[in-house]
Amino acid sequence: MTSYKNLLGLGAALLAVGALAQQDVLFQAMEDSLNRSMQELSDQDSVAPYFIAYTLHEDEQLQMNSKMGGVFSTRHGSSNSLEVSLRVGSYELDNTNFLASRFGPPNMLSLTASMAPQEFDYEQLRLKLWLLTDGAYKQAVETYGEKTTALNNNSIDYDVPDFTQQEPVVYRDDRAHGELNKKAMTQRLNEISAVLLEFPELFSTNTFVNVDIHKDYYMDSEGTSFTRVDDIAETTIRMNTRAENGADLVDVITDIVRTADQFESLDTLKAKVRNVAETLTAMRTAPEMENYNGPVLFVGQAATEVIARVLGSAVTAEKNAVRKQGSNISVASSPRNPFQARIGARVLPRDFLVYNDSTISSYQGRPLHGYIPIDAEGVPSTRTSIIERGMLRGLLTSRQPVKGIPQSTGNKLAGNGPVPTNLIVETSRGLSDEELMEEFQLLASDRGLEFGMVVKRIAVGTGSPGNRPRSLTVREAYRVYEDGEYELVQPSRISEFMLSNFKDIIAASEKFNVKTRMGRYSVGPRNQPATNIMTVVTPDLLFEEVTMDTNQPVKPKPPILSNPRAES
Amino acid sequence: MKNMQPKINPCKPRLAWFCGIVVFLIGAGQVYGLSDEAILEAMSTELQRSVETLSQQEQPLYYLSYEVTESKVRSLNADRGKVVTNSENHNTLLNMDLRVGDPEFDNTHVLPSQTRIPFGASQTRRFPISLGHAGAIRQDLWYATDVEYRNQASTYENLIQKEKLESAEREDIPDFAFSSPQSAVEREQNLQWNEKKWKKRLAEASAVFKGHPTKIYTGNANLGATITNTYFVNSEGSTIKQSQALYNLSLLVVGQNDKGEIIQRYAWFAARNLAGLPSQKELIAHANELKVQLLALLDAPIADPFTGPAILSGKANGVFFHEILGHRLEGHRLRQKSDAQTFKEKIDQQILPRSFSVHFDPTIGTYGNQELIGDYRFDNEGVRGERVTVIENGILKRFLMSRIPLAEFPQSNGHGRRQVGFKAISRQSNLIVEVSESVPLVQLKEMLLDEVAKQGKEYGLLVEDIQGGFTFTGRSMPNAFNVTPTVVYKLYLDGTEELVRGLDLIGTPLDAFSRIVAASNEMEVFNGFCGAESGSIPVSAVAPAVLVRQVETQKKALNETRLPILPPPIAAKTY
Repeated sequence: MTSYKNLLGLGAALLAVGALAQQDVLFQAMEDSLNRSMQELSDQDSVAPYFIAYTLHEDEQLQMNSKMGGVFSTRHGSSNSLEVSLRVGSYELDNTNFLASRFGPPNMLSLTASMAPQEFDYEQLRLKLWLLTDGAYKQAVETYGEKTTALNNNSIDYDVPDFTQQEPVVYRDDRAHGELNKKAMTQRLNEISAVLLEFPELFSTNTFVNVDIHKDYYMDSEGTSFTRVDDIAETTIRMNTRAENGADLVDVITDIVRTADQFESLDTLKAKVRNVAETLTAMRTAPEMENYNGPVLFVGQAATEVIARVLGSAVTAEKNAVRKQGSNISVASSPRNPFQARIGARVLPRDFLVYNDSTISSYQGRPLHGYIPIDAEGVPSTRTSIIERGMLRGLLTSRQPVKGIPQSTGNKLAGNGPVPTNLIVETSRGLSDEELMEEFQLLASDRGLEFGMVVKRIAVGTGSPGNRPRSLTVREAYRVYEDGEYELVQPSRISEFMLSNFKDIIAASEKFNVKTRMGRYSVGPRNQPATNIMTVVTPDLLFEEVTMDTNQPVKPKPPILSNPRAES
Repeated sequence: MKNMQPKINPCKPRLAWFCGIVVFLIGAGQVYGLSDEAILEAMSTELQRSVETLSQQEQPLYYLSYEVTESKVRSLNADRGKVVTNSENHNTLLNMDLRVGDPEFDNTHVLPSQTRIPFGASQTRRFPISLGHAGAIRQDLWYATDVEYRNQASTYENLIQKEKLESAEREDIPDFAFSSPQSAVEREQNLQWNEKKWKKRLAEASAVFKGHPTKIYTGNANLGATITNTYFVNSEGSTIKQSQALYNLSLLVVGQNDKGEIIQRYAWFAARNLAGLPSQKELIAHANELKVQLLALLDAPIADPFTGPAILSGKANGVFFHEILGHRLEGHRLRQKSDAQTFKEKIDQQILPRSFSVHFDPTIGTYGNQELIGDYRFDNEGVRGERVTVIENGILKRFLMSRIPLAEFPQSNGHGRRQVGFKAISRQSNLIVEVSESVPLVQLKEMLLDEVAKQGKEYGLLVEDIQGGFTFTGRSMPNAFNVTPTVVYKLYLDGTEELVRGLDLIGTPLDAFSRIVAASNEMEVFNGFCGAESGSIPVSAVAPAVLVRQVETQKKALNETRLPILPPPIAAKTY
């Protein structure tokens, strides 16, 4: 048996050596391509490249959907893709941060990303990188020409560099990938979805799992190279039914982690599913939400979602792009994120502290999944202080600097802009549950209200910067009466929630909530979606004045036939 | 803080016990991994329940069908010697045909003032469904039917109101054709898949394209395998389970010439089982042939616009007939006022030479020893696929019919087809062009040269391979076709052949058919996917080479791009 174990160990070691040798082939191909491109493209008549970066994304993904104990769709595949980022000009002024309308589909020689072989083959990689670099260089030269012409012929305040200089870093992420066990995932998924057989009042349900095994290999012309494991595993359970008055009732449970072995235990997740399904079933006969204005206590997932959607979308800073439409050149006069112009101002009560910390993977014993060792631009991860004693101190950035923040905080992960990773909100004056409820009820009674609203669950949505009002869909909320009685109400909507509301948080709990979600932010000059994994830590939050009303003023009629499962 | 529990009626102990029993009984009675019969039974039960209730509504349902399509797809792709992607997909989707009103006037009716029938994908017709549990099937069908019924009942109600405003009388043609109930349960096809073996085969075949870094930028070999299981029930009493496999092997090589023009060569092979695909030796031979052709095409001269005689190879002719004749014989088009209706009034008239007969035959899976892919037993509307002779001895006899009737052809002949998520309309199956008088290909070439001389031309064209094509059948645009040849030779009077590139065959249908002079005695097969209003479906065309007295060509749209600035990093070499 011992010798068998030794053999296994030897096999694993040989595999590791093989992987390392493969990695060496890839980095050698990248290095040789970088050296050649930097040197020989600089010898051309056109403007020279000053920065080139190559990233190979290695990916295997399994996605499955199941209903009531049976998988009905599966996607499983693996592929590698290569991506080139190329800048001409200088750190002060280059081809980026300029948007011009372009027409016509790209052809194969103008692409900056393409599929790559699964087995790293030096010749194949060199040929791929050669054509991708060529396409990226031609695009960069064209854009640089248009941009400099636009800047020369117009009076534009353009005094912040386009790109920051960065000390070279060499990093190899030696974390092992999570397991992708299709059989085990199928069984788990079917067991979870089968729980919903117990709830015949549900109209439709869907249980989804996504296991993504991902690794990035990066090298740039400044000398930085890294590998980074970026696995994601997600379980989502969606269920819907209709209330007796016709209102559509929907709720979604998510369990987002890095690797499948970090998923909540089957029993825990099944209990959560039962709990939400019971609430949803009860909601069918619950009263409709009427117009409400008064104190709202966000607890649990609702508190994390308010932070992620509203505050989370305002903690990043991006430079405004120069835009060209026809012959018109424009630059927005104010930053997309109003916080960019408010550094030093008070944005939260004085007892609040907000920071983003990509360097930690747990918080007071609870797992955080936003940990990254290094970002997509080769900047080592950091802890960034955003709000101290209620005052805005800093924002998250990429290597594209903004006024007042000259260096990257290491927060570029996907898409074109920076995103939060582990966003942590703390208060120095946290109240116990009883104290918080007392404060809440006092606020309601001061307003002469019969009840106040406690919001437990909010639909996950996309955040984007700006101080415009946010509409939040409330999945689960309760009227809480003076005697402490809770009454479930049908889904509602918070329609006027503003970033400025945070300044007036009345109180927060001493206990904290931890929730991991997909980032889902619109970032970059083209508002591209960035879907990174992020964890939010926050206490329950009490706001003095929030407006809520029904989210479905027009309701469909109930189905003509009864649900066959309920009937049987 | 007080206990934070929702204000709900607690489940009383006795009720909880009862709930538990019900759950247990449902669970015990329903087995995961249902048999075909159990799936069809669950579908039929729910269909019956829906029909009973919905046919009593103010806007009554009069026909309902459910078709559940389960697809299992695997694919592998290699580029110049290395595997690039592998994937495996499985999904199960519901299509529904729900008719409100009556067959004379229903929710699909096209009013005289409407210019076209609103075909196309619809969200409500593409509904994911789970087949693992009878209760789940019924619940999904119930929910989807409720959504679809509401949509279609509203459409029907709107049509009734709008018809009152019409100035033209309603045509006396029903909107729907009933058909006889069908019953069949086919055994499920097994997916034949040996990933390790095929990775090696594809890598080897695609490696043929290595070694030309200045000219060849992509050289792919792909394998796809699909098992499609369809479960169909309708209110006529049909219960059908069909299972089909489709394997395809393709080669794609893309290059650039020194003028910057991007040119590609593509070959696609398909069969109902793996054994029907080319062997490894044949695959490599095909890859070498494509490579040689591409390298020759990169340097070939661009052909000038031309009118004159040409031979279309069997494959090219198959595509020619599919595009130019086949689409114009699809019955539903002849109800559209926007359609040019080229052949609507030509029944019993001669439209091809007397030696030509054309059939559409979904009942055969091979022609000689060549694989066909336009075969099926029942179409997507539950009608048995029929062999339809559309042209007999040059005379037009019939059209391809779905359940959308025509005045002269009130019944479907089993050609109502669709891709999952689309509404079925009349589409082609296996197109077979047969000729009673034919000559060997060598003689056809001699006849071409005679025609060249007779017309005082310098050369004729030999269209050897073709990529596909498109045609406009509407009235708002010229009723023309454009067929895109990929390998064309000029055949000079002295018998020499010169490869040329960059041309499209253009023309109009009636004129094109009137110029066919003769056909060869060798039949060739073209397999491919045809895209139209009801999505992409597998079809085949079997045809002989033909000599056409006069074709017209135009220059193909340029696909030029700038050459790479730096030379390739790897020197060209021979492998």
